[in-house]
Amino acid sequence: MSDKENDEAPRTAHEASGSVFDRLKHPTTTGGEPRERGRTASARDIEGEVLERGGMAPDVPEKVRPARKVGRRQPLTEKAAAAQAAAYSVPSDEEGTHVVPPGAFGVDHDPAQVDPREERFAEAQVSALFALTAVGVIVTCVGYLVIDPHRDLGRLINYAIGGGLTLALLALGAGFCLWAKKLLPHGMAVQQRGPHHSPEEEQLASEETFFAGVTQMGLGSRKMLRRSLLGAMALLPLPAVLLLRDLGPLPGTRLRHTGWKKGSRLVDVETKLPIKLGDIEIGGIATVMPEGFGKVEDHALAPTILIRFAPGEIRSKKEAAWGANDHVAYSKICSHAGCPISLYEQQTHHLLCPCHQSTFDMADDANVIFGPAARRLPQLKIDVDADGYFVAQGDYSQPVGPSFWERG
Amino acid sequence: MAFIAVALGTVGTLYAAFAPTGEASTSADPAVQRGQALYARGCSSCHGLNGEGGQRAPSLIGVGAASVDFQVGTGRMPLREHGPEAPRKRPSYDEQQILDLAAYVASLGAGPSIPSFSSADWQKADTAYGGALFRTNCAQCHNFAGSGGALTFGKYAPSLSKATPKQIYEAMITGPENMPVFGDKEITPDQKLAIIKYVRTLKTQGNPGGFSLGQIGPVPETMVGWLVGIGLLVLVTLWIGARA
Repeated sequence: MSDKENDEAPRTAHEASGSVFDRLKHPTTTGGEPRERGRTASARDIEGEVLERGGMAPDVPEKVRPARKVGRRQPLTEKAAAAQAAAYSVPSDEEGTHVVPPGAFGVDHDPAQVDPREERFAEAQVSALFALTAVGVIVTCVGYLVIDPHRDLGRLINYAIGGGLTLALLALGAGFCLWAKKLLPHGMAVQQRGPHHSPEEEQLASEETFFAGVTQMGLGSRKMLRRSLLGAMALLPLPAVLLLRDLGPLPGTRLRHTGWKKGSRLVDVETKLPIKLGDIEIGGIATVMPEGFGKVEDHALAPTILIRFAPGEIRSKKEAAWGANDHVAYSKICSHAGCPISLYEQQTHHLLCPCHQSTFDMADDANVIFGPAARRLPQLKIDVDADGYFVAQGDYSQPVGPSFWERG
Repeated sequence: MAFIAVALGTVGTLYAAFAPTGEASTSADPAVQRGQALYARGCSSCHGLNGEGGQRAPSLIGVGAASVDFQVGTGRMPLREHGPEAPRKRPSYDEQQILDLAAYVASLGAGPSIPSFSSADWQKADTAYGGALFRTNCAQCHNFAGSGGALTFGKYAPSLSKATPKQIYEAMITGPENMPVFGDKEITPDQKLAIIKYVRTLKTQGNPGGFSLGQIGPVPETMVGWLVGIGLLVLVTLWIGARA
């Protein structure tokens, strides 16, 4: 019994294959004998076999370069091929660099096996491509000088300049590629790489100099010097932080105010005319700004969408109370990422943001019914003044647009 | 007994005189009468015998002749099938029939009438001003080049490339389907003509940049850039790297 407990190795193949964990703990061969860990169907064995077949150094793949002969490359002479193979079979040094004996790349191509017609053909191909480059350049220049830039909305001159330059550059590149592919020898180049670190003596000398300097400065013993140095160093990053101010003025409270004031008339953003009760038909919308606004860019938070409903269509009591005569005004700036929204569907009362498809139900106080927006659009309280024009009853009661850090 | 007979007779006569019949039109206008006959055959099954609307279709009382001219003239009505959006297709009625239908529907209740303007009217409008108005009021749904775009739940704003100047005008004053209404006090007739000039110019001037790719914005452009442009680059790279 005690024997059995001490000996944890499985007795039978069945026992060994009982569970994955058992097998991990006690690796066995297929015959059920315990096996040395880490030497499974060995990669090293396979590698050895391959190398034996190839008769090469251990770290050189069997085929340095596949001997495909699709193109018109000249075959190596027998002597050159042997020299090249010999060069590649030299084992690398400790740094992993192949040191190739001098003259290994002075390989001779076998002139007897070269078809001179093919070589001439390749030359002609490359020359033709370079000639195309010249044509492209001429087309570009002539096009620029001759074609009226206003003709056909500038399309013609675009085609001439763009097409000419494209032709020139493409043909030039293709010519170089063909040259390299068909006419240059295709030997594999091995570049020697020296050690990248300094010699050991230099490293030791530098270390010595450094520590000698530290000792002479007396950082350990001269307390005042050490402290003043540390203080100065601690202050040094301050200008870099302070200069961040130049990234722009601080926003202050501008994110919370939009330019709407009590009594501002709602004016059309394009015509700048105030909007009167009855100007908008049922199911109509208008993009409005506070009267007297300057550039739209200076009033980036002010754009507002004014919607007219049919009587009884507004479902939210608050929305109806903040509106006037079935007209309601909401911020046009999406509460998600600040895109201007006015894809309004007059039958479903959906307002769709074109950027990320946030959808607001405008009959239900701009409730978000789809998309990434986290909040309803803020509503602008409006009224109709004595002359029948729409006026704001004040600024928005909450910041408009996307969230920001201090929004709360 | 005699009294009851007289009373019944009176009520019956009065009823016959005042009840809506749904057949004989009170109008003497022959266009209205022809339109009513067409309406009874082609439209009444959904919109009701007197245009009062029903479960499947809205009331036509007060939509006006412009709405009929737009909906039938663009082939959207009669509807082929119920769906999120009625697509534009070949009109089922000829021009005269559409005018008759419009006359009949207009006789049901006051609404916007078919606009009349000549092509010289919109051709002398200011294209750039029309473009500014278009980008403020129309481009968010119909795209900067009038190519149309997606709305919510399968609906979409159609492309404006096939719309005639009259149809563009009618769409603005009637607000078909989910399009907001842009009345004459909000966008004046002159401004509407400028918008029409802009839309028609978009159609005729073509695209200065070569391939327009449908002018539907950055998505197809990016797709072509990635698939075609980078695909070509990869192929060229493969060719350069391949051993001859």
